Amino acid sequence: MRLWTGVAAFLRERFPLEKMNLHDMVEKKTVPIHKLRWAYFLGGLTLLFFSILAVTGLIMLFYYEPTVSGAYDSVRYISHQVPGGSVIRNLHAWSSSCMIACVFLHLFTVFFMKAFVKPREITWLSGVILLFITFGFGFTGYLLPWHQVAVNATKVGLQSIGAIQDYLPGNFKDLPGQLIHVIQGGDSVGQATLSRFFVLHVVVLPVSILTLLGLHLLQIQFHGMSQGVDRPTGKSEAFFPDFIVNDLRVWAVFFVVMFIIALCIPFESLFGYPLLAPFDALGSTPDGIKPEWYFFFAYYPMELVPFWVILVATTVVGAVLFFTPWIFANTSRRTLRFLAFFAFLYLVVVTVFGEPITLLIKGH
Amino acid sequence: MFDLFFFGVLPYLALALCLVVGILRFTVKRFSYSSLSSQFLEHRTLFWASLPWHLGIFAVLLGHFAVFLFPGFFRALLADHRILLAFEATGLIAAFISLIGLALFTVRRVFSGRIQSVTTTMDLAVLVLLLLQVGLGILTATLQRWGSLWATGVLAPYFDSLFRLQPDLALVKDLPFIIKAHAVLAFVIVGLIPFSRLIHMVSLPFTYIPRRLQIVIWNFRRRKDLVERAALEDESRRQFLRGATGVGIGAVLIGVGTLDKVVPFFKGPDLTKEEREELLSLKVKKLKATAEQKALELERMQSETLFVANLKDLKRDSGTYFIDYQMSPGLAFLDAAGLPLLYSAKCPHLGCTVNNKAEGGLVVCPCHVSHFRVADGGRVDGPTPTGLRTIPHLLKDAKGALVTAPEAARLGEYQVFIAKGERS
Repeated sequence: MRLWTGVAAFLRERFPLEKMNLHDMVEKKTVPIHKLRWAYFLGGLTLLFFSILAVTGLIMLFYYEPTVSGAYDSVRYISHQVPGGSVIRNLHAWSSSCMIACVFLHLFTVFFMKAFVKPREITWLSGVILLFITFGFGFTGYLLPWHQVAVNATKVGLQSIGAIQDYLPGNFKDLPGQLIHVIQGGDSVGQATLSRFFVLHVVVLPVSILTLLGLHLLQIQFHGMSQGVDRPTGKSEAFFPDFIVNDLRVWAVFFVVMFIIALCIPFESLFGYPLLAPFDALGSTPDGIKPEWYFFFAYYPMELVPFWVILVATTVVGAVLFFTPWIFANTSRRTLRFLAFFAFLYLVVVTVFGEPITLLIKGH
Repeated sequence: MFDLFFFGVLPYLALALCLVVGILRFTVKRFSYSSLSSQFLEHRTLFWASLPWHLGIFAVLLGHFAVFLFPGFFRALLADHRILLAFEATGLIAAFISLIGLALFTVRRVFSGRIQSVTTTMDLAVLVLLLLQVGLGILTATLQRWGSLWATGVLAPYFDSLFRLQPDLALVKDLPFIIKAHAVLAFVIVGLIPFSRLIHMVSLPFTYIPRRLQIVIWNFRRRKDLVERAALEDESRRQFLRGATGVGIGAVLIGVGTLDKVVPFFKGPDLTKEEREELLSLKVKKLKATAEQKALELERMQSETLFVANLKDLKRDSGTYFIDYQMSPGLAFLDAAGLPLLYSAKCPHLGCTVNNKAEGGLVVCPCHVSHFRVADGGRVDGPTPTGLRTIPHLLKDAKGALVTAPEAARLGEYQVFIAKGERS
């Protein structure tokens, strides 16, 4: 009984429904001004890239064909023959990378600004789930063009689940294999996998992300912006219209830059030829199969250290992410900044220098 | 005869009147160089009359002068049908806007008692002429399309000849009545400029554009607050109009630009016959490959043994790919004794397909660089936990009979098979 009253009290504090009106949620809201104020734009920027992805994705759906025989050709058709198709697809590809980058930065800034403490736990939790959904988008979307790197990287990604079986007790040894089977919808990556990933990418994940995004934004409007620094300057600007207009300005700049990049640099120019050839089920896997850059932080260590280390590290990081509001409730911002710096350093180093480091250690 | 007067004499007459009387008026009655503002008598209608009229007529005249001055450039520019349509539409819209302003001017002149008391006959005449002129212009634009295009070939050379003092009447002789009337009326209006309020157009009109709107108001002491309020209202209205115009133009540009790209996207590409053929043949090829794959799967369900290769085609340093019963790739090599060596080509690490080229008796998985021995499939190095799975083989002779004891001399005629359910 006491547990339930406790839960009710927790929820009442996180969802102050009496504040559910325009005045409290919009008119009264202010955004602090201090030297870290740029961090307040990162969430909005993520939303911008998500919007670009939603619109361009929807537009491409008019031509994309989620079949093993048609997927590659329909993507080629979009890129090379449909007027404006290459820009749309490029925007989609570049925006996805930018969205992930923004999500990472958003995560780190919210962390070291200590914006996750009471009463903002639900904002943080929904944010962490949004992060995983975003990764899900990346992983499922990577398969859809059905070229060599797409299919083979998906195979590798799925097979890595299977490696868990060595650490499971006897009766559970089959579990990872069965899980892979369920995800793939068959013995190997094929039509069933493509259909499933397609549905996940264009229906299930969008619906989930929109729902959670609603919760995330509702929480932000309920509780306002966190101060974010130890010594607030006392200065602030009105959320509406000042902050919104500034936000739109940032959006405008980033959209133009994004558009120019999408016009000038094909995303695929970052891959070599054989990787973008249509997937050949009977041929050898070409060299250089890699996941998208935003999975490097887990991919390169997997090649270097025993799998159980990865397993333990992933579990620990996942748990820490989920319970951050309680674990770091009493940690000072200075310490958080220190931790965030090293985590960020790790991400940057492994993402940028992962390959040379791997080669160096393996001695090739 | 009429043509000679209207197109050979009238233009010079009008221009001469305009210049001579204009200069005379400037020297004799300099302070009459104005539009004789009646704003203090009535200002509400005036705003909605004056602004549209001036904006509209300014745009229209700019279009006329541009085409007459640079006919060659505009002929080339307007050759693009989309630009032509945009140009003509802009002109027509501006004409209608100016017509609205003109109509309001007329209503004001005729129905407002205060304005009536300062209205001269010349004012009314100018209004009627302008109404007629704008009406004729709209008729010309709609009935004699496309004015901006043919004017470059007809009217521009005619004006050119006027300025060379050798009026070429042949150019205008056969023009339709509406166009002639429009041109003649234009000369008449030019001639009337120094006799009417139209003279205000030469009183350095360029500063009209950047400067704030002038407000003419009764200068009483008790009206002082009124003056300030009027100034404020005017300023905010100006700001609003300026902003609205900017946003409007921006929205139109973005809208047109977006539609220009989005509509073709959904319309799809215009492909040549060759391109369509290429696409279709690609499609057929892909469908065939998919069908083959399905056939392989069916074959694996139905048959007890699967053909891998002829023994004589196998090599020691280069594996032959085949598909095993799990629909995964397999590799077939030849061993030292000339007998087949069959492995699953699926790397035990993460399932990549192992390369078929053997170097130094080793094959490599390209994903994470694991090496395997060709001789027994064993692991040499790399992240793979085990070696390659060997697949037992069967040998059949040319007649399809199972070979249990292969004879070295007849190896060339054997065929290699794998059997269902046999896994090592």
